[in-house]
Amino acid sequence: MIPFLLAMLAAWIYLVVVLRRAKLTFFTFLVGSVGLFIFMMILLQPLITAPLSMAVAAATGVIGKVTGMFHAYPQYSLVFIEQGRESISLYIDYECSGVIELLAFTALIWFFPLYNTMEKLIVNISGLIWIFAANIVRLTVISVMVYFFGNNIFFFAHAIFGRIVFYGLSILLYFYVFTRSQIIKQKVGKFKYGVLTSENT
Amino acid sequence: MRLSRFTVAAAAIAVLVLMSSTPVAASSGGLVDVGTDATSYVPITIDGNYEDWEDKPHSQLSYSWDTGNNYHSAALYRDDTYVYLHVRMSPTSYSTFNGYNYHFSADNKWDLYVAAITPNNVAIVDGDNLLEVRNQNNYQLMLNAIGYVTRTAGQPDEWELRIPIEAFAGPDKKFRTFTFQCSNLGEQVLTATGTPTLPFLLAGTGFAIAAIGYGIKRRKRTTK
Repeated sequence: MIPFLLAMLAAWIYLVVVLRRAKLTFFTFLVGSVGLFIFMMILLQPLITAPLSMAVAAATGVIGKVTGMFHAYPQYSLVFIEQGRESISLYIDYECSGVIELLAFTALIWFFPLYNTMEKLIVNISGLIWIFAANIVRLTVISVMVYFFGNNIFFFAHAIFGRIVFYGLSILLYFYVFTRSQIIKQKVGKFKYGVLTSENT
Repeated sequence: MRLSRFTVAAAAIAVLVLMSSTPVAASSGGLVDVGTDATSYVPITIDGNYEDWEDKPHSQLSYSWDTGNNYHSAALYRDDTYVYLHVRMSPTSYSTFNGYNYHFSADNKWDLYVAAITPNNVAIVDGDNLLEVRNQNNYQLMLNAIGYVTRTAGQPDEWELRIPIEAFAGPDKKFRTFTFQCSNLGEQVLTATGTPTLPFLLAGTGFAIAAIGYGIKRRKRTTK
């Protein structure tokens, strides 16, 4: 497995370097970000999923403790909602932890041909915090809805409302980072909007 | 400059590759897999010792007409392999074990009605009593499903059991939600579930937005 991974890594690096030298920026972005995402999923995801799940549960539990609506068991990556005669245990697994979204954002930002290295670092860290917080908001919304309306609302709260909240916040982030930044950095003649500088503009 | 930055990133990934050749703390996909180095993690063992349930969330089971304190305390828990149940009967009334009509459900679609009984239906005695778990529909023994009930004089009965996730029907055995309900204990349904975000859909959306952003950048360049 390890020799295969190293071989794939070498092939990926070679391909990205070739594409970069050929100034095929879109393909550099495509191959680079997808490759980085895959390597991070193979190498990083198993390492960070468990602590991330526990952190998500713990952070959600802080809100639950303040409001008194639900309890977290971070050691089990679990949020427990008990209301009246009903209860539900929400397990934060790797699909709930936001790890895939965090890695995807990271992979995209480091091969997106706009920001310089320092900007990428700052935008990356800010984005990770934003996505983490968005996931907390999502879980809080689900938990609060279940607390007030009972277990019957769970499917709607989780599959529809919670996802709309999370997707809305995430797409807002993507829009600001990958689309709006282009407009902010737009040059009109010698005039340039925005104060950020980039080696790529 | 660009190459050196790239080299650093490649070196970092290479180190990660090498790190992955040694055992790591956690594995992927485990709902409660918090890693072997998490000291507070207490896995469930079905052995008649209930200390491993103390830090798990419990719910009260009772009937709506029972407005007193006659409730049972129950917990439903799961890991990658099993669904676990722990029940401590009411201390004030209906304190004895009843192992019939346990209704487990996976994803609200795949139902299992099980009975937890002593082998050969021998009488329950003081101390730990082994339970075998049978599918109530055909009365077949459920492989790898076991339980224990503990009876102590002057105390309500307490028991724990586990059901292998494999025992549920379903095409790929990748269930998200498990529920438990027993008409002998109360009306409530215990639910253990996950809340996936459909992460790959969002990752794909993110990539699409980034590609649009790249398109805007390209158009700007060509119109300069």
